[in-house]
Amino acid sequence: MSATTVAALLAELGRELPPDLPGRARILAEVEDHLVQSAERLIAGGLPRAAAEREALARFGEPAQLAILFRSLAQPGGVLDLREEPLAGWQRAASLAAVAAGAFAAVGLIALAGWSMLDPDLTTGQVPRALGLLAAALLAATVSGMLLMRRRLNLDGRLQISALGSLALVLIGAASVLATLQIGEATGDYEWYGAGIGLALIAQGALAAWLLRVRRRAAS
Amino acid sequence: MTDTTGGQLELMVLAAVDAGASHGYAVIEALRARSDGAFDLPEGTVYPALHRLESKQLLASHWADGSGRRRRVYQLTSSGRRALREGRRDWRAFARAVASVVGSP
Repeated sequence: MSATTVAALLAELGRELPPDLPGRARILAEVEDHLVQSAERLIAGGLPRAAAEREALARFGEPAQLAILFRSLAQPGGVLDLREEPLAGWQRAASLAAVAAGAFAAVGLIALAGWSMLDPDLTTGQVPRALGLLAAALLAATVSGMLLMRRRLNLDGRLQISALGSLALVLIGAASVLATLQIGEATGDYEWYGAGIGLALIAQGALAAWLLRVRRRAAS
Repeated sequence: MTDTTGGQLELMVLAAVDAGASHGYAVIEALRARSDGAFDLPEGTVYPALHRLESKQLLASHWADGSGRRRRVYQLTSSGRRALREGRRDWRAFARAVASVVGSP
């Protein structure tokens, strides 16, 4: 046993675990909790703190060996995949709602293509157009990132790419709402259906971002 | 960290969680106590096993705050309960077969 304190063992384990190992922070937190609890039990049994820590470390085993086990689980073909923690029932329901909102918005946008923010006759649609172009760029970055890096991304990378997609949804929604308002102002005819679709997209993007946050917290 | 459980660590971890051990330290204590010390494993061994079982969706886990400390708490999923039932059945069949071959002294 090389480490003589809990802090030293955690530092050694931290060095042995690859920085991009899925669930790395969680592993270190669990080990720390384990060692603290083990030492506390031994202290309660009458051992002095230093001796209790040494005994807890001896019982725990070598961090290098533990790191080998975790690395082998995370290798290609290994079974460790903390990136895909199962969602709770209500989270699955929320995901389904997000998908349904997306489908509704997609169908609606196709139906509204004739008077969309890209209408060349519309002179007041600069802001929606800019938002739409930005959203399109973000969507392109999202899809490209997922295609190009799907084999190499750790949890953080995948969540960051997904967050770009969520932001794109919010921007498309905002563009749709603004386009509705600007077209209505220019023509006197407000198509509130378009604004409804925009709000649905904003809600969907926000919901997706919130689900990403929940998933990230569960896996950290 | 040698597995002294004859490859049955995952089944025993499932059984320990089923019996109420909800976090890593409790699982290793349960293994030690229920085996009368026969499976006095290096305690760290239990964590790769817990994570492997979770990745197979036989266990689910979440962080829980209790007694001033954040702790990862595990529970069996419905697949885990089914796997435990099947594991127990297979183990009993295996033990009976070995006993019938090896026999009593």
